Amino acid sequence: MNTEKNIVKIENLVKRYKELVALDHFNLEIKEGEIFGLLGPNGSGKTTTINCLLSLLTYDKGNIEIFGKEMRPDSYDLKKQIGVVMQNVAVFDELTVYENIDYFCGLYISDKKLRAKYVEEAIEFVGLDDFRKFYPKKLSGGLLRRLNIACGIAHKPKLIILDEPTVAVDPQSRNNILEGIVKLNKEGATVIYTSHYMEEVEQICTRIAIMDHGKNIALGTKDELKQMIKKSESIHIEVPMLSEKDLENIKHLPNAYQVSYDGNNLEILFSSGNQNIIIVLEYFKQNNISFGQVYSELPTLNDVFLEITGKELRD
Amino acid sequence: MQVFKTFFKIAKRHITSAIIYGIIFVTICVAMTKSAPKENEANFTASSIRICVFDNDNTVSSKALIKYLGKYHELTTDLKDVDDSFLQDSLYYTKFQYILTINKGYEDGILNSDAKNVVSHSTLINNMSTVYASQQIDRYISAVRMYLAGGFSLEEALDKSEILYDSKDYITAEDFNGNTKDSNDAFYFFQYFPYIIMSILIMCMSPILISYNTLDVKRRIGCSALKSTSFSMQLFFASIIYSIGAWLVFMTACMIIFTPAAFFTKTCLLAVANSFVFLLFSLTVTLLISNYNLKEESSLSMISNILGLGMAFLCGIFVPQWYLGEKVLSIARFLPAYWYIKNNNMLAGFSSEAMSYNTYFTCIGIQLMFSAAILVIFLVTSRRQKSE
Repeated sequence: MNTEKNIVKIENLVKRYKELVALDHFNLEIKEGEIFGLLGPNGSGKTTTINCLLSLLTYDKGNIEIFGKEMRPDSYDLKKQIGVVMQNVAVFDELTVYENIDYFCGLYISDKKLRAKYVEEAIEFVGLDDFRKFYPKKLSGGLLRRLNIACGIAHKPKLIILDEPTVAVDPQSRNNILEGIVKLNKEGATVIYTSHYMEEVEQICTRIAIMDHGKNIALGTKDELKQMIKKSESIHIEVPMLSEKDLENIKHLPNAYQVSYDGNNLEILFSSGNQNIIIVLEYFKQNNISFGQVYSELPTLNDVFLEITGKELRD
Repeated sequence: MQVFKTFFKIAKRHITSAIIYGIIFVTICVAMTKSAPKENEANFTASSIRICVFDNDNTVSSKALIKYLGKYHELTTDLKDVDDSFLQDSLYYTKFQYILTINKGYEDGILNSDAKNVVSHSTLINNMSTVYASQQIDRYISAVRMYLAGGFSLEEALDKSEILYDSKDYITAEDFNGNTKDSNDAFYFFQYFPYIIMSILIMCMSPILISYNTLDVKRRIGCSALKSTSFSMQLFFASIIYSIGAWLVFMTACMIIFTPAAFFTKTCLLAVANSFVFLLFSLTVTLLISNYNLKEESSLSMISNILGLGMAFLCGIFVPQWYLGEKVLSIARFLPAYWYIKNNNMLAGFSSEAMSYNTYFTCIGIQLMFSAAILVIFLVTSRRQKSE
């Protein structure tokens, strides 16, 4: 799917809110056909980046290009090709589901027949067919989020920006939304997806940028990002009794670089290797050490963030 | 035209509350109109009193005034070189109930449209009869000025003003400005109009505009392909049409309630034009209020009450301007409703002010200036919010 054509290019973007530097010489390139994830904790600058990208905010320095053209507040030809799904639900309480989608689609498509077709397709896409005459106040949180998405994508944009679209959504609706985003991408749209839920980003994004303090601290596919850190696996074992000598020996197992034991649970971090669990269990067998539950964890994006910044993504 | 059309779709959702507000306001207005004191009628309760007149001007005009008063009252005009104590005693022993002095320059004052201090009077007590006499003199002077302003010669103006009160039918059925009883009632309707229209627009049109101004919707529209000028213009024109629609409903109600014959008189139509100008002010105020994202209906209700009732009490909508203190009126002059009511009082003949197009258009101009000022504030705050 990926090609080399840049859809979005951000160079040296600086945005200040008085003393606070929200974006600090931020750079980004997004290629056509990607689902690009912007990951970072709250306040890291994700929404500010999106707002600058859409010319909803002025910025102090830098350059933004979309579809190879400079993005300005009056770049209506560019805006026509962009669909936006904001973090908060932005619909009219006084209009029905159908009327809301029709209104927002009408801001891009003036042809009535074409618009009616697009609105129907959007309703079908988000699965709101049974609710088309409902007013937003009568919809559940998940359905409201789907309406919010339908309003942003009904005009079939080439670039779709979704700013934390799954906040406060139940797991079933969240899955529906994520599946929908992948479907949109398969239909040809380039997607920018911001979230602080690393699982979502890992699940759907082809490339990910991790942001902190307005800077792009890591960029790549999820595998590339995970390769950037030392940890490749962590093994957790329930051990009721473990001598100091055994603990010292475990520390010297191949690829193990960090061991911690709290009197019942043992955690061993490995920097590489794919048979670490077998090596550990072999050692336990040879030394007659009794143990309970055993499980292994591969590194997550949170580990990447933790190792780079020294703090958790959700801090 | 998506924004324009959607405005009225949203308005349709608020139509029930708009109708309820409209009916309540019209009902209250008609009830107040019907129960309002008919001051003009009270003015013509005839009563003869003993008046001592000192004519210091000694002109055709002053003599005409004396002749006019002589028709209704017992006059003494031949006293000369009397001291104050004699006059005080005369009042005390009720030899005279009212002492009128026609000041030097009376005729010039009338001719130059400067009728202030052209006469002075003394009474021992203010009772219905003496107040009536004062009003009768004021009205006569206003009538002379009105005829002079209408292009009549001094002699004609004096004759016509004298005749104006000779015909009983004329006195009971019409006032100076040619208003019939029904059209007079219609002026009471116009009196309450500022409160009604301001409340209706704030309570019913603001929620529609606020729907567009909620931050998230605004941002979604802001990053759409719709030009921001097109969005603002569509919203502005929709607001104008909504306001004019509401105004037309009230004007039609006024015409039906007070008969078309009363409505389509010259003065009544001037009052209609006056109300239209006030509508423009109410529209700009509503636009300004809607700029602030007031989510709670109670906030709008509070603003509506503060503005509507505040203006109503300060500017003479509920309490006639002549009952208000000078300090209150000084404050009221900084509010457009004062100038609206001043015009309405003049047109209806509620005040002693004679009809003058000069005054009328001055009041209209001041109201327009208020609207323009609010519009500028609205545009500045809109721009500032956009840049934020």
